[in-house]
Amino acid sequence: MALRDRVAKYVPAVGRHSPLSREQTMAIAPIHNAQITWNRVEGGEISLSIPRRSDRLGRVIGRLFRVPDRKEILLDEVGSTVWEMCDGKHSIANIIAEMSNTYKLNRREAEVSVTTYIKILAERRLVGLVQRGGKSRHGRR
Amino acid sequence: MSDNWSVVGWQGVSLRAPSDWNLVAVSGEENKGYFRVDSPSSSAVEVRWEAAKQAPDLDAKADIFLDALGKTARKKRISFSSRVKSRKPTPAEEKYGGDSVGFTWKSDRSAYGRMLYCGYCKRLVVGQVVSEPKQDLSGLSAAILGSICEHADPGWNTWGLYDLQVPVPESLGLKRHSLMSSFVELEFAGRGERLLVQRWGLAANTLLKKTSFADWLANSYLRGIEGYRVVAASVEDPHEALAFEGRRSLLKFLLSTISRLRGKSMPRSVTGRAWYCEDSNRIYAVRHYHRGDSGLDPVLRDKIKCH
Repeated sequence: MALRDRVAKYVPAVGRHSPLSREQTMAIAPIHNAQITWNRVEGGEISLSIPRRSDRLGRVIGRLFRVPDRKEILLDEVGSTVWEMCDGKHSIANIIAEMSNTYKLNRREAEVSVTTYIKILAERRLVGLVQRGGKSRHGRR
Repeated sequence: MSDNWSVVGWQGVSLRAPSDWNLVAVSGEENKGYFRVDSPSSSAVEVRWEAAKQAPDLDAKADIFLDALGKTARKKRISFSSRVKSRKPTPAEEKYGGDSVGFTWKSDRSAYGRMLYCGYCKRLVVGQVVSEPKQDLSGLSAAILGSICEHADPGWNTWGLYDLQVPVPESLGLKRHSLMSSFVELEFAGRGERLLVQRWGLAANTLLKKTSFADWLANSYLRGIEGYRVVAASVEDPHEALAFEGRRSLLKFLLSTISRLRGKSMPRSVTGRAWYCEDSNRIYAVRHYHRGDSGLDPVLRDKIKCH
């Protein structure tokens, strides 16, 4: 047993986090970051309005480079559909099934594109990932 | 069975699996390779192959294979049991000559497997359906494993993935592939020929959202065929479709003649077809660079089922 694992017996925070199983990953429900506002624009696509980071560094950079207070991102049709379903009620499995039916995608194709897209949204902290049971995995701002 | 089952094929090794099982991993080439097909749950089919000029002793090979698995399990301190059993020859084995043995193993996962020597493609193939120990997939496994290397269409290899099935002449080998979400591309080459099969998903929602199929073909697809003077015309087809053909331009023709003198042959013509299947929301395109008068595209159009 590695030293880290031995220590983890007594100090759980030191331990390695076991990766989620496929079933656990599929049960995760993405949820919008509450600080982001969004609305539908002409054509049905969704426009996100993301506030500039408000910590000290964000304020300094904002003043130096005259960064606008909010950044706008326009999602395409498919991205908008996924975004709308990131409401904390639909699991990733639900979103995949919906995408597969709506856009006539093969299940695997839908799975790859949806999981990649949600991963990007989570990395940019646009959505949080809620495991069933209420534990947040990602995306606090 | 055919409605809910589809063919998964890679490098001439194919099998039939439930249509919601999908190819998730490929590696290697014609002489040695691997692919895995996952079910929506935790089951999967794994297939490995390697070229073998003669039929090996399959019982001995199966013992070696299972011993290696047992060794790995023992290292992890997991119990392991296995069994090798003889199988009834499949119609393909009777037709082309060949042999197979069945095996099962149980550890933290369990598997039903088949090791076979294919008399048609001269390869040793190991296929196994792996699942949770609690699951009983014996019936399903028998159907999947029995369909490995059927070679139902001699002279053609079936390439099957993501609902796409493309029979390709055995003389053409895979040169390049791109398996992206909503875009699949397979490029084959051999004996001065080149065959490109492409499929775009989400057609109505992305590519054709602001343009028509005909305009997209003219402005995007056909412009990608460089070095040929291409003429396109719509053709009779259940879907909106277009056939095209092109000849090398004079300059390119002269350059290709020089290349030919140096021992490299260049395809003189390109022919192809593209069609938009609204039922599956996909665009399909087949492009064949060849030296003869007629290309493979009409044959492939008939063989590719789009929905």
